[in-house]
Amino acid sequence: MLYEQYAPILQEILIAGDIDMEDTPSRQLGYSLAKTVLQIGSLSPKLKIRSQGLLIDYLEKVQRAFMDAISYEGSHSN
Amino acid sequence: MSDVTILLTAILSLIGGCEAIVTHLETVTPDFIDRLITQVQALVDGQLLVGIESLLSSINKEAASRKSSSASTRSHGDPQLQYLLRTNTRYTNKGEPLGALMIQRHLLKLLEHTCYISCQTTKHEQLGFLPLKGFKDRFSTLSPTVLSAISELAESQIGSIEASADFLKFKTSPHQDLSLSLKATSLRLACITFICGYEININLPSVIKSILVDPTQMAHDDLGPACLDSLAAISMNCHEHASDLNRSLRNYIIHAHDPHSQNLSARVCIAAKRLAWCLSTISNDKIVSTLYSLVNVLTSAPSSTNERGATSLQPRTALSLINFDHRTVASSISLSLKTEDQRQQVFSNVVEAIAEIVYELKDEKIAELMISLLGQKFGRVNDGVDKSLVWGLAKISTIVKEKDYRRILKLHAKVRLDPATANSALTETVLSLFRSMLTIDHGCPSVHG
Repeated sequence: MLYEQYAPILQEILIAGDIDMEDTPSRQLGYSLAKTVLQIGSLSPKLKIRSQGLLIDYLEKVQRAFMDAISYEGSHSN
Repeated sequence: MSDVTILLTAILSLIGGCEAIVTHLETVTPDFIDRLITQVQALVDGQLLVGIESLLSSINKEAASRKSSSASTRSHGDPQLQYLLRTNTRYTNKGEPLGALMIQRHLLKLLEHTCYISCQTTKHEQLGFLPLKGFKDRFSTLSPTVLSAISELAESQIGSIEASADFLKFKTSPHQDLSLSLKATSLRLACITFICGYEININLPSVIKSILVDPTQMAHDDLGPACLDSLAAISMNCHEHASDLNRSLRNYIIHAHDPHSQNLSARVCIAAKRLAWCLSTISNDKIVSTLYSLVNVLTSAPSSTNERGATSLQPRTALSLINFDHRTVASSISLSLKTEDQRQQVFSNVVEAIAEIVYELKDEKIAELMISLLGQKFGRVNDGVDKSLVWGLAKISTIVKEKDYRRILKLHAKVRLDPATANSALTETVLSLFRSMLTIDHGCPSVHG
């Protein structure tokens, strides 16, 4: 009964975002991926070239994501 | 996945990725910086950023209209989207709205860090804009295409910030901190290309001088130091601008006044240190004449006695040894001070700056000269200046030999006993100085304790 009484309040708090204190998964994942790629790259010169190339590819993917989002919004608003 | 979800996820991922690269990148391959610049240019392209901002503003408008109708607040069935929208609000509330400025700032910082790594000469060298010694040689190792591209990027970023400078008027704007931080990074990048001889379409010395006279920009933790470092770098490497920039820096030190800033004293110390670096590349005469002009600011106080001007208080031995011609004293600085608070701030800045310059130069003869000049100011201006002099001389005492150290101790003792200067506040100042000197192993006391 207590749970039924307080569950809606807890849900309100969660939705309002008062408990969102941590970095978002997207930011954490971006950080961890880049860090791991750099760590792998430090193992040998060949891996360094490959890993730094991957970082540039990653930035290209981000640019494509931005362009996709804008064109998606453009097509749906028309 | 909706457009908004893709966009916000991509921005957050980019922020995380850039932070990781800045933290963990230690060496770069020869073509990395070229490819990075190309990618950064594409990501900070004006049209792309306008599209991003337009999409984000449409989200914010929708969210605002949904709030007015509580029944429709949870009409969106996508929990991931709801989570990202809440995250967007949280970032905005903490002063980092997800959008074009965040993207620009993180990418420019990444580019800046990569430049420092590319120009690193030894593995354990401190990475950063400083030191300024050998600055031009260090960054001239960047290829012409890289320098040209950086020059273009930095110029466009500074230009776009200057064009939309309304944020400077509103301290509550969430964009102010981001914009000034981006301006700081762009300024440093522009300075690198300017010194390496790349033409930049903005008048960089003028931009620096305009920042110097704006307390809001100088109070910013990133932009203030960036402005001072860039000014010093240009002054030390481009001699045609040295005289003008050094004068502007000296004027900034004297006139810096911001009752809302807690780091004004620290900012004055940084400025004084940069001025010492700039002057040391010219000549000892220039250093001494600048110090004299600063001392003369204290002499210009209406309550000071004019029986003996600063120029007649020259310790002859010290001056003859450094071959100083007192006729080359820098022109007196005109002060237009409206309130007593401003006047006191100016005097405090001047004493602090003189102490910092002497400390930075570590020149025995200059220190001896300044101990004499400052020592004779006790009781000649006001109580506030006397307190500043106590701390200023204490700072100088940390770099002098025993003979001058004893002179400073005698001065401190004298002011406590001399009826013209002795008062309980000054006695307390001297005692707190001695207490702090007994507890500090290294380093030096600041003028304000």
